Amino acid sequence: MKKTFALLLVLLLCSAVFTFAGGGSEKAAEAETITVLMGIDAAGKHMGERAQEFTAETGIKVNLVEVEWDTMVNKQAVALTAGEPTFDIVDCGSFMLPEYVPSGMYEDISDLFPPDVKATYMDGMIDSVTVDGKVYAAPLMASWTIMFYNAQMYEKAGLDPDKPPKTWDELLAHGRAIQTKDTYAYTDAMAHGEQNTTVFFRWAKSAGAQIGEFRGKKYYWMLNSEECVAAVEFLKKMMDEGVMDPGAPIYYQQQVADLFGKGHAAILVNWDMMTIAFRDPAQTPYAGKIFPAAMPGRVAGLSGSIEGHEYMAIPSASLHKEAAKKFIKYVSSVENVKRRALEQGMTPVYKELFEDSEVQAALPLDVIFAAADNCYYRPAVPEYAECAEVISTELQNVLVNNKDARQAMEDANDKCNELSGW
Amino acid sequence: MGDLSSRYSSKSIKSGIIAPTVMDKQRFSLTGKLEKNEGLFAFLLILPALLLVMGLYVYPIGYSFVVSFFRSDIRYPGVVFRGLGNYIDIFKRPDLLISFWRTIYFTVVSIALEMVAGIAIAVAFNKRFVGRPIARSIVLIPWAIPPVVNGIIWNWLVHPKIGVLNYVLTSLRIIDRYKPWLADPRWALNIIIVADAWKWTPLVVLLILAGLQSIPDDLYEAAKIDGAGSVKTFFRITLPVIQWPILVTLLLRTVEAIRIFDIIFIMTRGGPANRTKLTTYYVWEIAFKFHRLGFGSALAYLITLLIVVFAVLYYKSINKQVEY
Repeated sequence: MKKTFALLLVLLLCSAVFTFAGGGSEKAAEAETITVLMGIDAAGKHMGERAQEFTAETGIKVNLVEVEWDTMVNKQAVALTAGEPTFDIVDCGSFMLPEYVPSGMYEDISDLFPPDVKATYMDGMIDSVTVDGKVYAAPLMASWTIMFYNAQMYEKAGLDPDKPPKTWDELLAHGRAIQTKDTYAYTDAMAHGEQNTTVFFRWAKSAGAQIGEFRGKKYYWMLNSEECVAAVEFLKKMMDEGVMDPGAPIYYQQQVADLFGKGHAAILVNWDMMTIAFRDPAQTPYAGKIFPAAMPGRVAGLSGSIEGHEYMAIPSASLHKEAAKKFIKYVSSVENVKRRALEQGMTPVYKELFEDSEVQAALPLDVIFAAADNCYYRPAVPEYAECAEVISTELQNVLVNNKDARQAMEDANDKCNELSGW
Repeated sequence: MGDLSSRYSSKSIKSGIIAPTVMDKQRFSLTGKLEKNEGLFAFLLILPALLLVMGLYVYPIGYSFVVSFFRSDIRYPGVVFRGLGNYIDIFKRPDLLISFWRTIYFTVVSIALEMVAGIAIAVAFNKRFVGRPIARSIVLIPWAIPPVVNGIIWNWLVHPKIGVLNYVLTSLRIIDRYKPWLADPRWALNIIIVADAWKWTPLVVLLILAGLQSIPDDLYEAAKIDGAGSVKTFFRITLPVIQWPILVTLLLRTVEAIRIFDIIFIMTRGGPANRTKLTTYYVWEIAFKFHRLGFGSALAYLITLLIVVFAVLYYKSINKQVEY
């Protein structure tokens, strides 16, 4: 009797093991819940509310996972590589498509973008996520980096608050006037990783550099150009002279925005969506005293920026594709995109909204369009992540005095071109 | 039972006729077979756990070993057999070879700190003093903190703007301005070592203390009578007797230290300029960030080989007996 009971228990446990191992497909038939992985910047303060509104309207629940960009990229990489239906929507940039589209890890969502819908978007937004005629991601927001400066700190340092720096020399001069024992004039997010690489890209653009070009289907890097070296040397100079916060090599974007908002630095380059945050008294004691401006260039007339458009893609492993498409359509409706522009300063993706008077009043569109004219678009190539890692490492090598700028850029150029197949 | 005795009477056996009974029927059923075959029954009992182990450990280990001989990269569809190519490529990368030496440095220094501090604390806790139970509980707290939380705590301690370390050092006028410690390649790895040693020293204390408590008091009394001081007593009596727990602790901590990943991810992500990027971090980065699963698997197996070498060396040492 005892052994009969024990045998039944064993059979039950074995069936539990197999059920646990293979239970995914059964879950698809239960109540719909989609899991959305998003970077904190793209999600903003109100994505949770949008998700709740969506649930109220459709009955589809949304499990929102908001993390910092680099963490989001890592989570996505692991989930997609494993082929597990962990996420139903993932945040992405257009430069990420070559990593996932070749293996069919992003779902084709061309049905969401018939020609009449496609025409409503900003030029190039849909094309940049189209591969072989198929659309693999939906625009969530447009974004470029711009400069912000604290006019109150400018006044305190005896500088004209209406004249932010337009050239590198002016930035240095203003920085020397502003810096104190506890305050640095400029800070940036140069922690090891891809965001550090974007810092290099915008400073290189502000030096007038052509960072690389497509030759056929391969990308050829030109990181050892005189302009790129000058950009890195300038960053090093700012750190050596105390103009730039020496903690920059360990800061992430959220940290520097927080430090800048609290007055630890007077000048910051960050995503244009921070405009609204820096007007909010709840987020900074300097609300109303922080203004956007074009990033200074090596000489007058030059400026630099980097594009950071974010999109929503549906992993092929998702078990809730139709529900995910509904959420994408809801979040990217003209009405909700306008709300994101007005509430959170996110640059809209629809052409018509740039003519909207409320959007024009809320966003510094002149500064944003100037940034768009001077921006670098990260190359959509499979080896981009590895190249970004190389560039970040070499930039940090310069900042921590391991290498001089020329040697670092030569090494970065050689390694990146090797990765690109040259 | 009366039936049995009559059934197995010499008469029924000689005649070869044995009428079937209820108990006979049971002997030929499944449970009846189990009654006879204890080994089969034992196997069935451990089968669920075995399936779990096979699924969670054996299959992934085997699969990743096979993958290490292929180019397996989601960016480039199609699997290409490379033989030992992935393993050979590891030795062509100077950054990976440097990371091996950095990993050895991390392992040696962090374990040295843990062992010295752990043994000292254990010896102190082996003596009676007021508040000893409370002190023992407090010492265990770092070990109870998850590694991720430990990394976050130390990030805040050495923060360039609000860190306690900067506050104390500027107050003592050792430095004149707050310093970004984790941005300095000379300090970043050493701070991570201290953070890791702080977390794992309590484990060393526990294991060494268990060994100390097996030492009989009369040994110490005899040493005292013979005029041995505390230092001599420690090196001549205490240390030899706790050799075995020391070696077990060294084995456990060496394996963990070589595999370190979480605290580096939290504190520095391998920066500044790859100065804290140890080999296991490279495994994660290559396999999951750069999607080169085959190459990442090969690197993981090389690390495993390194751990096995250390484990064999320690195991041979552990087998020595200590007599007293």
